[in-house]
Amino acid sequence: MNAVIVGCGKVGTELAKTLVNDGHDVTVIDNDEKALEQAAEAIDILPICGNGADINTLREADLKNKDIFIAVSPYDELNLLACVIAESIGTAKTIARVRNPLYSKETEFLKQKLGLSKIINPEHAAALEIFKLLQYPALTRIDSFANGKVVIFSVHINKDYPLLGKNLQEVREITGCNILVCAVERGGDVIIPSGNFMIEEGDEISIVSTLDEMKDFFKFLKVKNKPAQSCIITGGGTIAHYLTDMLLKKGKHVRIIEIDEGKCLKLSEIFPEAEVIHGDGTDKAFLMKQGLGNVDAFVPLTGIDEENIISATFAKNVSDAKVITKISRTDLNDVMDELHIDSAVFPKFICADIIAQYVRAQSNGVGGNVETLYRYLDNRIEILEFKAKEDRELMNIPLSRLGAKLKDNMIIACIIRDGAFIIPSGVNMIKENDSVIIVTTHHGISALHDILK
Amino acid sequence: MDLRIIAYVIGMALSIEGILLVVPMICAIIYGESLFPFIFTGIICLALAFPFIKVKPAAGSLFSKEGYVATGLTWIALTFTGMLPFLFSGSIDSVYDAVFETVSGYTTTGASILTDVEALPKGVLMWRSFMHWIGGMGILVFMLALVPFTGGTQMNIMKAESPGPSISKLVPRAADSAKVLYQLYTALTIATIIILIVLKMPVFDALCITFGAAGTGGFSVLNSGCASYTIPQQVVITIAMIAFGVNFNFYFLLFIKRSKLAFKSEEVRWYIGIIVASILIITVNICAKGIYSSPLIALKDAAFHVGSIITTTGYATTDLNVWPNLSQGILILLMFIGACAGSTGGGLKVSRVVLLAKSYKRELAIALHPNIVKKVHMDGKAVEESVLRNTGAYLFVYLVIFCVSVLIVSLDGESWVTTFTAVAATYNNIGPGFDVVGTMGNYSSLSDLSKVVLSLDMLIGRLEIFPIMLLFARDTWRKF
Repeated sequence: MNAVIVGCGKVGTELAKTLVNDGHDVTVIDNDEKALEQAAEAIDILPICGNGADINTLREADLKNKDIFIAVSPYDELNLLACVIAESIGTAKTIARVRNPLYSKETEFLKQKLGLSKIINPEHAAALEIFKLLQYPALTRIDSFANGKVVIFSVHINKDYPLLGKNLQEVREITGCNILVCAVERGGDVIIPSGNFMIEEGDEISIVSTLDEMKDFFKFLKVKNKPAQSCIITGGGTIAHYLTDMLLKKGKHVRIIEIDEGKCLKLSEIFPEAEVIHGDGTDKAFLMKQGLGNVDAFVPLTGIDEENIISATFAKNVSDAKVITKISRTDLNDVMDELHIDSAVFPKFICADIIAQYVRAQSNGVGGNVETLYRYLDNRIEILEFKAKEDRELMNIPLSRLGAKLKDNMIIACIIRDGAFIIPSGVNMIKENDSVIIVTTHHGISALHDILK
Repeated sequence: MDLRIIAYVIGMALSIEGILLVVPMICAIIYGESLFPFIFTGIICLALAFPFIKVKPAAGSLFSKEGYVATGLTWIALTFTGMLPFLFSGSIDSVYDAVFETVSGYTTTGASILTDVEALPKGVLMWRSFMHWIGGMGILVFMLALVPFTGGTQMNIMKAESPGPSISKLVPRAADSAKVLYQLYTALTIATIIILIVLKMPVFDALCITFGAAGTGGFSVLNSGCASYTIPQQVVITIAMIAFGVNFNFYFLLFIKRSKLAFKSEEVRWYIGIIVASILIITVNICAKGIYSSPLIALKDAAFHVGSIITTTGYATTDLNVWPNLSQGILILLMFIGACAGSTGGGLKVSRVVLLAKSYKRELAIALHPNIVKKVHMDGKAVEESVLRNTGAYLFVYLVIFCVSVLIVSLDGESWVTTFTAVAATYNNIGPGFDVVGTMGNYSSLSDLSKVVLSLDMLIGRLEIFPIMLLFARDTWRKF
């Protein structure tokens, strides 16, 4: 497909990289020639210097022959305007990034009135991801499929877990849970394990199961996995805004530390139930005074990655709180593994993932389109959900007979049929209207048929 | 620096050269000549390439530096393998001469050391002309169209090999851009061949002359150059030469039906303007001097040579040494201006000349109003300062290399006109100069030293200085 991206910032670049790797042709528009040059040096894109809402620039980008138009500049208004103009001169599907909480309440209204295909709000998505993790503090990441019925979650294996030294077949037997370990990160390598894979200390394992099975699994591990009741947030930006809103609605206790007095006043105006504290959220003594030692969760969300990382490591040392850090830069994710911070959330990656998922869902492949896409472990693993459609080569054939024809480095993690969760073995088969979840190290699979060699 | 990816690029280019030898081979079969020179060269190319391309290096290490070095080394490697058919067939005895002839072929110069072209086997002549066609758009651009590279780094090769101050892609993917360029190039070439055949030119001549015109090279297959072709054929060659000197972006925009944008190109307008003005002045000049009796024939010859020189092709229909000084002077100036950026031609490029003229105009404005803030515009857009800076520096280095070359070649003791135009005609990839190296003469009488210097000049001129000069810079080879 032919895509145009407006905005060559971190999100734009990450997105361009994803789409080009998926095999699409990408044109990037930005005002900043230097940024474009840098991006074009690393990614095979066509850079065009200009304003994304300028008709002439869009004509230069040959918008008439494009399929998808994505506006991710830092300015909500420019993004919306660019999409409206793009809508009027071409037939491309338009996607706008809109971050301002004021507009985000009107998402559906804006989408319909302006004729957009999708509005994305990475800050809201990031807040949601943090919120989900606060529900299950023992996890490092959790995502859901099939309208929430099935989840994939990641756990860091500590030395006191009773799973150490067990292979995956044994794990299923001793826990008695219907779960599937679908990916393991060990010492920087990513492995899609088979049944005789042995779990070791320090592994990060990703598991597919249902929510109930997940709870049983943690009961077996004797690990506390109860929702955090209290939370300290440092930095009162957009993500903090969305997160506070979600937590307060669940009746949790939220304390926001913000250094700017004006912002404090604004927050306390919007969230009367939250405790808004005016002060420096990176100051150790101050944090201790605010109860860091006894809080359930600590979420540094300031605008500076380095400060977030430093206060997260500090918090890890002085308390048992679940720590979730926000990282804006996209080049730090492999460093993060070394730092032993519980979880990190990358809004830019989330944004790129959402759009990549949308683009793949548009591609109309054989055997059913991508419904959901997550990328795990530095984007080295893709987890995809498909709705199975008529495909003679694939359907109603027991998986054991299909075996040799399937791609390597790929597993069919589960099949959801009429609400039932099945971890497939050789006798199972894919039937029409099943939801199928695939875990793979291949990139760019956009149709269920692509799992065949 | 990543030597493995450079080796890979060179290996790929060598194997492509080996495969392209099929073209002269077919010609040799048709004319019943010995196939040995080509088969043997092909085997050597593939054998040399094999260890380089056996393992494909990991992607992503082809940065700007590697792009330049790979391009420079590839062209040198191609020269030393491309000359083998000349040596094996016994067409040329001296290695210096063979190098000169091959560099002249690949760089689309068309300067020859051969005194009797018609005596050569047809297969060798075909190879000589076909080198023009490959070198015109660039063998590495051809490679990009065929071999998949990952990452955005292919642009570094394209930038290093394609002429012009700023190279842009036509379509989002570099490989697709290379494909589009070669599609346009091939389509225009085939169209020219067909027209020439329809006009009753012998098929062999039509192919070779078109390859020369398309690559803006200039090797001809007759001792008389293009003089013995009919007037309609000469007119078609004139139009073809001028067409291949146009920026290929222009054709791409026409092709995707955005002619408005295409004709907005200042460079193309200047290019056409310069051609028309030069033709008119020269026609009047040579008519007034009484060299031609018919103004129409004068116009035809003026157009042919203006087209031939500004596009840096170098075909000729007459002996230019008898033309008046003004006409010769204009042609020498055109040698330096050259064709459009992004075409197959050489020289300084029209866009650089326009940019330099515009920066000069800006300097004038600054002298008058010292506080004035002014941007240089081209095609209705402000030009980046870095492009202007690069253009200024380019002109300086360009002139330095030119002067040094003139001094070395002057050791031969030829006339100044010969010395000066020999360097100008090779450096700008034209071919014939004036006097001894004029349209009816050749380069065979020069010393071996001069031939080496001129060969280097041709390479430097074709690759626009940096890829070759960087090979001699110590910093290039440092690890850090």
